[in-house]
Amino acid sequence: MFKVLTSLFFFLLLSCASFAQDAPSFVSISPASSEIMFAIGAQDNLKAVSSQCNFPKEVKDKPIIGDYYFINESMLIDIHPDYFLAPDSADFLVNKYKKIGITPLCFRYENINSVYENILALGKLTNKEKKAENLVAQIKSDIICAKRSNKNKNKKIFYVVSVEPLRTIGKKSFITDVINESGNISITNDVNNAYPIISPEYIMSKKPDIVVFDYTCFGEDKLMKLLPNAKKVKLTKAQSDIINRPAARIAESVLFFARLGNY
Amino acid sequence: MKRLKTYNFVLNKKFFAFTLLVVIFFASLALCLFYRLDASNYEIILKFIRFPVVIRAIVSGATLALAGMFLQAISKNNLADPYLTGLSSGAGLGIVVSMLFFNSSHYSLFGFTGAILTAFLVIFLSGFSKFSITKLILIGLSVNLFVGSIISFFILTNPQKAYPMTLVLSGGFSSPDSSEKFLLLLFLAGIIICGVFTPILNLLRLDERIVFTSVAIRNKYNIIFVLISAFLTSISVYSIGILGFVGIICPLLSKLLFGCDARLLFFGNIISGSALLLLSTFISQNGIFPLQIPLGVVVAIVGVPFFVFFLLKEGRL
Repeated sequence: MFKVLTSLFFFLLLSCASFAQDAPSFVSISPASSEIMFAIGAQDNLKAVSSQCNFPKEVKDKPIIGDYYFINESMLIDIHPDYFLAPDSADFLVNKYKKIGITPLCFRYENINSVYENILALGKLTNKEKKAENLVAQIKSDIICAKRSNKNKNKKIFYVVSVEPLRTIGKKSFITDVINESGNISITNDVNNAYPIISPEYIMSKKPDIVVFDYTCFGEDKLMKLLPNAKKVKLTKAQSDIINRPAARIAESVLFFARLGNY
Repeated sequence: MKRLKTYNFVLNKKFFAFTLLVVIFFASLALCLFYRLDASNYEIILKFIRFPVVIRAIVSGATLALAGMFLQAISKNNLADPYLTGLSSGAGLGIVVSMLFFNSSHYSLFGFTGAILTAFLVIFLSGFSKFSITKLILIGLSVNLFVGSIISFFILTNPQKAYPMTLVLSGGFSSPDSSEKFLLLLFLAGIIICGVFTPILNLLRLDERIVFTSVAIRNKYNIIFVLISAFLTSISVYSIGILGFVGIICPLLSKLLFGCDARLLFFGNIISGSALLLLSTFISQNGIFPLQIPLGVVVAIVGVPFFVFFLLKEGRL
């Protein structure tokens, strides 16, 4: 009887283990990746998130494992996820966890296509391929609708990441691609960098129609001294964290820039 | 005979060095103002961008070099730095607080206030009657470490603003909001005070026990010089942010070129500091246009080869 019970116990344990292999667990310190996990319905696989993850609301019910700088390593070992989702700038932080069998996934976000690829990759890993494909199709059709709503195309947009120092988006930033998709032009789309510190004179020579401030940006009044046609320029602030997040809501971000074109 | 004298004067090392620095100064000034000037709106560019930048470079270069000269003279140590009295961390805390809690763009004013307050605190803690340079340096170091860790705490707990904060703390402001008139007024005041006290620095080259009749008088002068250098450094923080290195290298370079007479060094430091910063400003803005290189990075790249060249040539300080 004892032998039967122990073998039954081990059988159960093994089946649990194999079940766990079917649905790998994730930990995420990238707000964009957390958002994608929720959007493809894989939120149950997500065991812990970062303190910056704030969308959707339910993400706040998840335990917090740290942020870009600190990771609670004892908690990480307790959870022992299969994958660690991090922004590509944090790869130096998470690569060391390979040694204990946690695979770091540092997604690159250089344009909208890479966002699609990331959604599909996460869908594949979580066995939610169909949902991921549907989500990508939905985003694509939303972006086409958003682009159509832009009646006066080719407005020149200057996107300000921070005023001190004056940083903007360059060729390698996905926001440049978002602005292109919306039918407008980012005046710094030829600068070969992701988030360069830029010369104010260069911005003056490009004469932007619309200045968009990132929602984390401050000191907007200071910039106005530098722009010659400041009275004609429309100033607007990206209201939330939709714009600078390469995730499932990227179509809303395209819509935001498309609406600016109608100004 | 007369001709020979003139000939000697031209060949004079000090005169040659001074001319070289003046040439670098004016060449960089002209480049900063007129290089790649857009003809369509040159008035606005000159008025709002280039003139303020040039004024700030000159002011901060001159003040940092002078502050370094005073501190190196009183501590009798060539490694003394204008930020010795905990100023950099005080200024840094001011800047971080303005960015975090006031969401303001008045970093310059906050930095200036932070620097002045920290300097006063350090001098106060060093004691007036029992003042000594070693005590000042140790207390400055402690305050630097203490305030520095507060800054790190603020940066680490606010990841969204961490990157801009780190950039501002590491290499100076790219577009400070300091008013040029107020800055020039402060600068003028600083230069006049320096001019008055500089001849006394020559006395410090001698043994203090011979020069000063009592310890109290020696301490009085030391405290005055520390205060002057703190004031000068705070002006530089107000104009361009925290910028290391200039305050060490320019006084040493001037010493190599002009000798030890403080009256000559006064002018030498003003011209070498401002020339170095003007040249660095030009390179930082036009090196990889339209991208900008942080000023702190360029200052080191431009300054070190110069310094090492003269150090190897002269051999001793």
